[in-house]
Amino acid sequence: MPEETFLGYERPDGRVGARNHVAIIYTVDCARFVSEQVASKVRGGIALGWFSCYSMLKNEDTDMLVGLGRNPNVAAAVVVGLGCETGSPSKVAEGIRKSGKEAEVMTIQGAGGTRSTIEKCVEAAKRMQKGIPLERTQHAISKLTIGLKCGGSDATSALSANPLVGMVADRLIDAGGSILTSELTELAGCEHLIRERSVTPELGRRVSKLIGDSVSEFETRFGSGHTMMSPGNVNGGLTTIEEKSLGALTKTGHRKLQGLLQPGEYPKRPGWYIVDGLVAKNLRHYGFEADGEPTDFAAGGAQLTIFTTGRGSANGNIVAPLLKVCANPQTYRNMKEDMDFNAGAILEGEDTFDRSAKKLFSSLVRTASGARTKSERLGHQEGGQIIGGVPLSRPALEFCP
Amino acid sequence: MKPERPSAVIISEKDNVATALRTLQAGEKVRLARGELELEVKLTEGVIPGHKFAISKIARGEHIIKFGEVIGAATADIRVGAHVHTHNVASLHGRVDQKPTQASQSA
Repeated sequence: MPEETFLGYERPDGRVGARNHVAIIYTVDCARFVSEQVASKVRGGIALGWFSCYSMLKNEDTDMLVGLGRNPNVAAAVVVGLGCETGSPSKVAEGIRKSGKEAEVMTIQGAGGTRSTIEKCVEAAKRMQKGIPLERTQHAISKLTIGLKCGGSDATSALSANPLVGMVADRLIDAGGSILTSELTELAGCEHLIRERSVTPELGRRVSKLIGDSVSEFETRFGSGHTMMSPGNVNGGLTTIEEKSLGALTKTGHRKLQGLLQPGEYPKRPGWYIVDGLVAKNLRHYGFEADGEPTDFAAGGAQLTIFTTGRGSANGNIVAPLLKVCANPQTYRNMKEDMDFNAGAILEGEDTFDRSAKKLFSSLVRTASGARTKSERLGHQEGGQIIGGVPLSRPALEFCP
Repeated sequence: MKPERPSAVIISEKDNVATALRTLQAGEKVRLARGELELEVKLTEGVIPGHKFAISKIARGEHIIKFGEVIGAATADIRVGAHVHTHNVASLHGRVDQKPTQASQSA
C-alpha cells in the first residue's frame, strides 16, 4: 500500500474513520450504567457521555457530544438520557444526524426502565450496524486529522519525540491533513512565535490573549509559578522561555496556524489548529482529569492522537486511539507494553531523525488503517466521561501536569 | 555492532547549537550528525547534559537557533565549542523589536 493513502471506513459526510465504533452516548450520569451495558453487548460498542445534570445548559456542551458523535471513528450512535436531565438527548442526536449518520434517541423513563432500555438500545444499535460499512477502503491521508499531545514529559521529550512528531506533522499537513493541539499554558512565553505562525494577525492576537487567560485561570486554580522559567529549568540547561516553550511547540512542526477551534468544531482547511483549551477545560472538569485533550481532539474530528512522553504514560482514548511516542530510551524499555514507538533510538545513535520520522509516519498510517495501538490492546478506554462545568470556586481534587 | 551512543544531539539542520547528552570535558572532540550535516566540534569548556554548546561561530547580536527556531540572541561573541547559556544569551521575548545587545547593556 502506498504511504500517501490509508485504509478506512468511509462515512456519509466524506470523512473516513480509522475505527468502526457504535457510540452509546449518555447525556447524564444517570444513564451511564445503561449505556455501558449496551456498549458491552454490541460489537464495536463504546460508551461515552456527560456526567453532570445541571451543567449541560450551554450550546458548547451539546456541541462537544455532537462533535464526538460525528467523529469518523463512530459509524452510528444511540443517545441515551434518563429523561429529566438538563441536557437534551434529541438535540445531540439531531446534531450527529447532520453528518448523515444514523443516531437513535432513547430515554430510560420513556423506554420503561433499565432492562427494557438496554434491550431497545441493543436492538437499535444492531439495526443501525446493518447499514454501516464493514470493509476498509483506500483513502488519501489528507483525510486524516491527528491530535498532538505530550504528558509525563522529561528532559528527553524536547530532544527526540517532540521534534520528531513535528516532522511527521509537517509531512501530514503538506499532504493535506490537519493537526490539532491545545496545552495553552505551555505556550506561555512564545506568544510571539504563535503570532509569527498565524495566518492572520487577528488570529495571532486571539491566541496570544487565550494563552494569557489560560495562565491566569491556571494560577487562580493552582497557584502561580507553574508556567515560567524556574531555577531548575535553568540548571537543566534551558536558557530562555522561548527554548522551554519551543520544547513543547516543536511537535506542531513548522507550518502556519490556520485557526482556533471551539470544542466540537472541526477544521475547515488542512493545517494546524489550536483547540480552545480554556473553554474545553471548563466544560470538562478543569483539573479533575489528567489528560483530557485527546477527547477534545476527538470532538474536533481527530481519528488518532500522537502522545509523546518521556517518563511514561498509561492511558488511552475511547474514541480516537493514542499512538505513544516515547522520547526516553530507558522508559521505552521499562514500559514497552504501553509504548508504540521508540523515539529514544535517536538519542542512542541507533536511528536518525530522518529515518525515525519515516518510520513514525508509516506507523501512523498503519494505525489509521486498523493496526491496534498498545493502549487499545491493553483495553484502555479513557476520556469518555465528560464531567462538565466545575465552577472556579470549587477546589480541584487532583492535578497532574 | 552496536552503534556508538552520541555525545550530543542537533535537532534541526538549521540549528547553531547542539545539546549534550552526557558530561563533556573541555578539549574533548565530539562528532555530530544531523541529516546531511556531519561535523566534529572541540569543546572549549566543560558542558553538562541538557546544556548547549555552539556548533558554529555566533557573533554578538546573532540569533541562537534550536529546533530550527530562534530561542534568543547572543549577548557576546560565542566561539565554536563554547557553552551557550544565560551568560551569553538573552531572551527576545517581549522585546522582539529591540536589539538584544542594547538590552543586555542596559541590564
